[in-house]
Amino acid sequence: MGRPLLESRNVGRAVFVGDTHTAVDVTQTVLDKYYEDAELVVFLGDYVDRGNTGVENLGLIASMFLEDPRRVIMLRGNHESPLTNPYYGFLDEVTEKLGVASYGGFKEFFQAMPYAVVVNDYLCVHAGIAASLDDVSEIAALPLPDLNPDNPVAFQLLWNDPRDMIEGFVPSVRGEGAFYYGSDVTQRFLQDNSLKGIIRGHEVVDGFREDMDGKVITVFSSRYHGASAGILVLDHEKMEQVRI
Amino acid sequence: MRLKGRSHGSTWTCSACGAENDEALQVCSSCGGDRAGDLALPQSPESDTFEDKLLLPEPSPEPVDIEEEEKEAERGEPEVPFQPSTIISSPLSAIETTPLPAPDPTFQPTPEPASQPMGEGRYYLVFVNTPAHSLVKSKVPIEFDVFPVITIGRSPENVVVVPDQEVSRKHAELTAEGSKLVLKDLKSKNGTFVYDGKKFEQVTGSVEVKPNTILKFGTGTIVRLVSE
Repeated sequence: MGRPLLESRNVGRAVFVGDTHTAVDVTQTVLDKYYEDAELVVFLGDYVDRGNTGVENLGLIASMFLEDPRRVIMLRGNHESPLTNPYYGFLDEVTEKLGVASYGGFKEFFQAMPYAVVVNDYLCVHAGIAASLDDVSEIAALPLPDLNPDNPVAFQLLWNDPRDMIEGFVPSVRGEGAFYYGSDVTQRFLQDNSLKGIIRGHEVVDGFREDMDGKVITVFSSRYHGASAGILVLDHEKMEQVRI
Repeated sequence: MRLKGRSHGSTWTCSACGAENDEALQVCSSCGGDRAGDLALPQSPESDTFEDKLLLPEPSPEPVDIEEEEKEAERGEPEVPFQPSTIISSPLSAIETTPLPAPDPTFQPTPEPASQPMGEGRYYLVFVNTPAHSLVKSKVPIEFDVFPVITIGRSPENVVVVPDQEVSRKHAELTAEGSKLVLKDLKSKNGTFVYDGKKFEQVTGSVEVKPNTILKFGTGTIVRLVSE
């Protein structure tokens, strides 16, 4: 870790996991049933908050990464941050399980996490593209470590949402610094960067949602929302939506 | 401070429309909104916690949960259960045609129903964002020939019903004055806003809005006024 944009990958079989938000059973199922056949498993962030097994979930994914760093990618989500942990449960969980002083260690871990990777010409990022980001390579120049993150482009990579009925970047109801990205800027970004699409999480959906004629795929892999936990399985050219 | 989407015994209250739901449900039976499962943010009163919201260093005016205030003001009014009656396909879209015995080459089928005035644009509102997630991307037809005044608000008697606790029961109105569209804020508690390309500007009184403008009601509902 320590690089905001990981090296691009081209693999035969990859699995993409959306927000798990402490759903360690979903992560365990990915490990038990999909890890073995996959050359690469990409986790799109939001491992903690909204449940009480964030420590275990994060630990399981981290152990997968340590066992085979070329095979597991852990991207940062907006919940890997002191902006959300005090309000959505992770700080309380860490305090209870490990003592409040231990949270500092998680903070340090989160602020060094990568934001994005391109896999088989799909940009994988927690939330989406950012205003004033024209080239994927610019992500590589973002500063790390970044606490919240504070860099406005990094922040948007973790907080923005796609909306195909608008153009440009429109201020989001999520708060200052977050935006909705429209069809025109998304199409232009994909074209300029020779990308097939964007794979992201961040929004509560029943497993999956496609926007912009399937160019932006949202995958959500939690349990707390009471709907399906989805994962994407890319097998050469074929993208399959699987519910866990 | 009342916590939204929290269970109290065997039911929970929907944070989007206020309906009571059975404990076993995870989605509101009234509006389809997701159950908010977390504690309300300490500085943010009863906002929809399903969507991550930021705690701003310099917060914009805190949204007022107007339900309690309005209930007091309108005491005595019968409770009307929420029905998302406007989120339906256009009543003009179901056109029955009798099959012709042989095609008439001179017959020019009208794509629009006969009651639609010629030369006038058709409009609809599309939800860009709102707490009831199932409504995002949905379209509500705006038909001035049916409703000269398009009322917008949280309560069911509006032409456009917005199941959002931060939207006033009577929030705003859209009218057509010739080819001009006019948006009027009805002294809503949390404001009506028009996006000017850079930011959302608050509307006081009435303002002309061009087609394809993005509007915001309260702090959580954004729509686009689209012309066909």
